[in-house]
Amino acid sequence: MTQTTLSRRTVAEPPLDPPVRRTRSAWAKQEERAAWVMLTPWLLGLVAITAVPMVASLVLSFTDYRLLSSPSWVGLENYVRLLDDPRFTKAIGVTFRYVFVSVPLQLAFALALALLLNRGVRGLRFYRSAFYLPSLLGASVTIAILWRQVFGSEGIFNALLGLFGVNGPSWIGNPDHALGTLVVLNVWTFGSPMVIFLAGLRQIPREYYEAAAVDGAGRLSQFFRVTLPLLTPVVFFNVILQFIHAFQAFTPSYIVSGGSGGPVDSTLFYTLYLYQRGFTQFEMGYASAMAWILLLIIGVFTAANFVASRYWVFYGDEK
Amino acid sequence: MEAKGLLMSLPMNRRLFLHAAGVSLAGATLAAAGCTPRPTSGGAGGGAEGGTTVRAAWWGGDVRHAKFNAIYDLYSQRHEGVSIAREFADYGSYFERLPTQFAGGNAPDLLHVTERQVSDYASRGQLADLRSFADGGPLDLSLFSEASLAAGEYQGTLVMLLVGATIPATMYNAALFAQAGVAEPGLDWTWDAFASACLELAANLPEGSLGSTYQAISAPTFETTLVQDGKSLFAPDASAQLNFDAADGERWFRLWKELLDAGGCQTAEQTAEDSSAPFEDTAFAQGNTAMHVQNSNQLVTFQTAVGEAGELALAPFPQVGGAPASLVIGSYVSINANATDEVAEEAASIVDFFVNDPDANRIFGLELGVPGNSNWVEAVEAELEPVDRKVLEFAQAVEAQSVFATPRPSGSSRADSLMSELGLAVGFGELDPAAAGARLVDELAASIGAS
Repeated sequence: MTQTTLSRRTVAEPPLDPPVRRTRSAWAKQEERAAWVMLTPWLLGLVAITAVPMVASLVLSFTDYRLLSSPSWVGLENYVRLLDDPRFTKAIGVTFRYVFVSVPLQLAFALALALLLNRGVRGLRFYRSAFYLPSLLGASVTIAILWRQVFGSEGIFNALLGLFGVNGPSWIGNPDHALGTLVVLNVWTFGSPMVIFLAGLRQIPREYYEAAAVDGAGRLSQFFRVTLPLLTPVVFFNVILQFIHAFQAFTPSYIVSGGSGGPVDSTLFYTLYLYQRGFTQFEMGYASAMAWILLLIIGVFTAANFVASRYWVFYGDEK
Repeated sequence: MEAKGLLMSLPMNRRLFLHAAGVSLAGATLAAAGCTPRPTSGGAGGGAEGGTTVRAAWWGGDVRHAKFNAIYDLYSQRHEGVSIAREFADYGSYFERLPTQFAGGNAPDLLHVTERQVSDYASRGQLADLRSFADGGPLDLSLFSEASLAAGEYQGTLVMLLVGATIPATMYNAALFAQAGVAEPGLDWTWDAFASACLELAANLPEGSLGSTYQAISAPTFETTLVQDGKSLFAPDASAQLNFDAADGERWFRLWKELLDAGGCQTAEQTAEDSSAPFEDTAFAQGNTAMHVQNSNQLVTFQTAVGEAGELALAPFPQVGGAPASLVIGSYVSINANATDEVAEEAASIVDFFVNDPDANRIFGLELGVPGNSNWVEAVEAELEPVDRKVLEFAQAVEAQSVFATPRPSGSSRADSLMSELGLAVGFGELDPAAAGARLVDELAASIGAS
């Protein structure tokens, strides 16, 4: 900020004599110092709470560190061990299934409701808040506990099915369904992408629809030819955010499975396995290696998304 | 500009360096302060209070917290100038925090452990030798049984003192047995008797009631069957070795799988649901199964949950191995070896009060199971609740066949989660018993780093 202001002035004004110049640069320096001072709390936080622990975990990932004994250097051994750890493979599988099923469903749901709310429903504010609420609660322990009550063998969901004469299984106790209940839980927290979609929809100029209508475009073709293309930056934003979020999911599985990732590892999220390795088996080196692999996975995935976005995200200023 | 920037950077760097040095010095001082056992004496600093502070930690639920607090309050009342700083959590969180505290040099002075974790600390010299407080010191060990003292030893040193022993035992609902017309189990019953009781119960009880919960997932119960063959999960000397083989695991999983397939016990699905549910929602607490395997000291908890619907009682886990035997699991108290002499001495005096003072004994009752010293038992015997009396009588009845669990090697904490995973995998039919037995041995050996 400071620099652009400075250069603009330098360009705009005629050359100045040295003394004035010195004062201004001193002033600029002072302002810069003030900026650093203001930034200090944030910088301290970044360094102490994020950067240092991250570097430490990178270093630890190359060690055998059992918490009670000091770390000993083992090179790439943790990473090699990961490759033939069946539970690691299982955790990756579970996490990918969770991410790739729940996020698209959640976003589709969010978009559908945003479209509905955007049609001038009465009481919009109420609905917006009501739908947003699960987003605030969704990752909480309380809701995860509630989920267990809803999807247990004697839960509300089965009671509901019972009304139709269906004798439902224990949705959380069965390895075929347990992950499904967590997917539903994630979809249910569609509120935050929905609010963002809603804001995006409000940005689309009315005239486009009027023009499209004049040209004879129906509702459906208006959606696919006007709404969706102009909404792609918002879709992209939500995709990135929700995918990263889903990769890091922990609480639902931790609470619903009682920390085990069960039944039979069917809800063993990557972060839960990491936690088990780090905090119940105290293999901090191994857990650190896992953390870095997750960062890598998320990084690669996000980068791929950005590359792909060139082909489907449309920004209004493009021709 | 560039050159100037470079020149500028020199003093800047030095200043930065000095600054950084100052910061790290301050950090080091802080860290050192954190590492040092907390200031304890009534010296210059603590003049106002003029006493010793002992940090005590334990695990448990609300009932137990209240008991600990009452005992420590009583101790502080009787010993002026001693304050006991307390920290407590549930079992899981407690043992997640403890290693971090030891690693950071800020572990409590007085702590509770079990044979599962003790070698992690004892092998690194973190736990004080309790006998050093006994001879002429504040800790009286004279009324402890030989067996209970031996159970608290790690490589010949008494690093933990038994405060309660519990036995993974068959808990049964006598009302359901009577309702089904099935004879209650005796002390010497076998797996066959157990299995046929399960089937009879399932057949004679109303729809939805079953003989037993599915216990293939329980490591202590599996270890009970190993003890019956003179084996154990891990080498008795806490070395990184297993003390059973894949065939033992296979036998275990096969027995349960057959019982499950015959409809004698809970399904894997119900088991999975129960394993993450609060205990009062589980099948046995709800009166939906006639039997369950639990630590004997939990009888009162389950009796409270079952309530009037049925009277609960205890029997040993049926005999599967060569001879009847019951595994005994302990809860122990230890003193941090890093505590200053004064604090350690005071901690030993608190331990002595806890285990030997009749008032303290009466407050604690049999909360963690049956104590290892006869005077504690005598102190509480007269006013025991009927349920607790059953726990005590059961422990006395099986005393002859009781075998104390020994300290486990590092990495052994995987045993419980692994057993639960494999037991469920067998129950769901994803693994056959032979494969599960092999996996049990392989993965457990890997987690303790066995050669």
